[in-house]
Amino acid sequence: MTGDPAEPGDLLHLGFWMLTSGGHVGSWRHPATRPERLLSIDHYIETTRLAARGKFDMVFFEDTLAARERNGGVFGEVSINSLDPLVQIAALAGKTSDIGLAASFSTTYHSPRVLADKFATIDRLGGGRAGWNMVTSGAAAGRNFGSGSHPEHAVRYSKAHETVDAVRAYWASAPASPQGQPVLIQAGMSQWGLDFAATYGEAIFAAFRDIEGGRAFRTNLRTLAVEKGRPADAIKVLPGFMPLIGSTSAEIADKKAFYRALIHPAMVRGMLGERFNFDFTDYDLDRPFPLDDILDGLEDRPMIGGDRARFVKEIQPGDTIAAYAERMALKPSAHLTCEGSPEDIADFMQAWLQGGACDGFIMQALQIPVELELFVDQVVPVLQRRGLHRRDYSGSTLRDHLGLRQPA
Amino acid sequence: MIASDRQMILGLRLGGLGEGADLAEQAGLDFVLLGDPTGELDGVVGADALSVAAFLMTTTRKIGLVAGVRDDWAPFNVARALASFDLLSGGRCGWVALRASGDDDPARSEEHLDVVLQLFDSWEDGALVFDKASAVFADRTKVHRIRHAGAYYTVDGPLNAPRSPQGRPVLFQPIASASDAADVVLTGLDDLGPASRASVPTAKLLAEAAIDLGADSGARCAALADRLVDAFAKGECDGFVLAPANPETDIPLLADQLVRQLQRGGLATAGPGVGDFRARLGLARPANRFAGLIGP
Repeated sequence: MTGDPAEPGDLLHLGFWMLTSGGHVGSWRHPATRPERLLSIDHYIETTRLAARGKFDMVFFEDTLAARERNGGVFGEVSINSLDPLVQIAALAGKTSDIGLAASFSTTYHSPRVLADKFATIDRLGGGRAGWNMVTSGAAAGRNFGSGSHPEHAVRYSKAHETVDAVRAYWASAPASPQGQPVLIQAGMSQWGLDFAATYGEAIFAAFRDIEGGRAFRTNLRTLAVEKGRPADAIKVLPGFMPLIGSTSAEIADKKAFYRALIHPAMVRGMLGERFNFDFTDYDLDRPFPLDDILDGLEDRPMIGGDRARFVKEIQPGDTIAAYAERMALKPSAHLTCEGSPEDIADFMQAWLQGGACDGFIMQALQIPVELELFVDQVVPVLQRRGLHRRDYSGSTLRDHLGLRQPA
Repeated sequence: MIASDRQMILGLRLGGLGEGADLAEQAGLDFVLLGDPTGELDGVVGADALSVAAFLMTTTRKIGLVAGVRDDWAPFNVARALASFDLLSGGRCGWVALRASGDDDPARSEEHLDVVLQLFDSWEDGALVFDKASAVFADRTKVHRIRHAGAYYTVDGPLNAPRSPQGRPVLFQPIASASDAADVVLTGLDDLGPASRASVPTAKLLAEAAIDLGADSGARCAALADRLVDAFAKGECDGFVLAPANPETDIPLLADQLVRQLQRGGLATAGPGVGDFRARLGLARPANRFAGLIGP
């Protein structure tokens, strides 16, 4: 019965995805964003406390090991989002309480001892609130760690298995925190990733197109976990999610237009530059897509920022630069979105939870703090009234919040 | 006699999870130092000095925070963590560059440090623009690849963190492996003398004083204060790192007795100074090697 939908009374598990100024690429240009504060710990303390006011299970940091680039230099039109996430959650442990503190850190570019020591220390400092999102890192990292070649997928996952086994062995010999050991989180939905998730994962950060896809994935993962001798509910599936909250359809339309306008044409050129390793600065966006011009640059670092050959195939005959960019921007995000009133957003979350398609969400806010505050003040009370979300924390550790047992 | 413009630098070595940092701050010390000379905390598996120092960023307000960092962590990771720490804390970060135990190749350690220092410079001052109207978050002409290809490390860069408030975090090094880049050099109290002073011409030289106060704490503090004042007055060093044997009992006594005795002599700092950690130690902000270079 591993595909069971949530029982009545099961609570949503919510992680807040901590991006500097928000999940929208233009959020650093939002009038409420003070960009200079994005490099101060105070911004992250305030945001974490806001998420704790909304009784989120955890805040969640992603990680990258290379500067974001476009055509041979840094992508200067977008916000930095790459300070060391462990330095951040260690600092947050000193000034926040209750809420879990989870961070991504690479199994490819850190040794087991480094990983074990850092997460165990932060777990003790925070009183049992740490989570580790085990990532194998993107291709761009390779050039900062050796020969420039990033290991292939299968090699990275094989190394990840070894690394996590070694980390857990270190943890077993280290002083325990109140939750025993940090929570193991995992993202990645390839076959390799699925086996890894079923073996080690306690919370799975996932991307689904629709509720059926979520249900199929969750059922399959729970079955695999049971085959590996683990209880089905030892793994929580948490898809990425970003709501757009507005009380009327007019308000929603205005908000969409407002956020679309935050994407400056220079950012559009930058995103195209990142994708094709080509400088679009001096190109009129209304001219035909300069396919012949970009082909030379594609050979240089073909994998950085995605598989460029695949992107080239998406360019249609007769496309202007703007037409391609518009299609690129409108392409459904890998993560879920939902527009509507607080009740609509709650309906959406409830349908996914009770449809057996997830155990909760890792939520982004379009802008921090404005859109997070809106969610906490308007959507959270609806979820609480429906009995879908805790009114207060019933435990003090991340394991408590996620309903996970301590490792043996 | 003692030149009035010389100020004794005083730090405290902490173990565990940094207990005692608040007392050190209240007592007016300049910094706390996390991690023993091997870079481990109490030799315990599951203890990371840098994470404890980062935690102290929010539980203390002004005091300098110095973490031992071993060079068996890739230079890109080291540079990013320390730059992040310095940025988030508003310029309170220092680090002790420690050689990984069991690695006797000084050339590798030297190259590691060189790469870290290059990465700290990969973003020029002023690279962050934050111009919302023209959508320029960062001026990409002020961000540079380091293109390092050495015997041990190949690192392209740039770092994915901008230049930090102090230019770069304050670099501490043990005297045995000190380089020209050191801001602060650490030696032992018993090793002070003309030879060690002469070997550290520009950096601040601090002597580590092992302290075990035991029962007769008053007399021991007085004797130790005399010894420290004497060494400082002779110009043998610029200050001290107090290393208590029994932190739980010794740190309150140190904060209460030893520090007061040193302060009564007008030597130690009277409280948190102004500016960042580097300014507090009397160190200049380093120039950026890439300043003025156009393009990546």
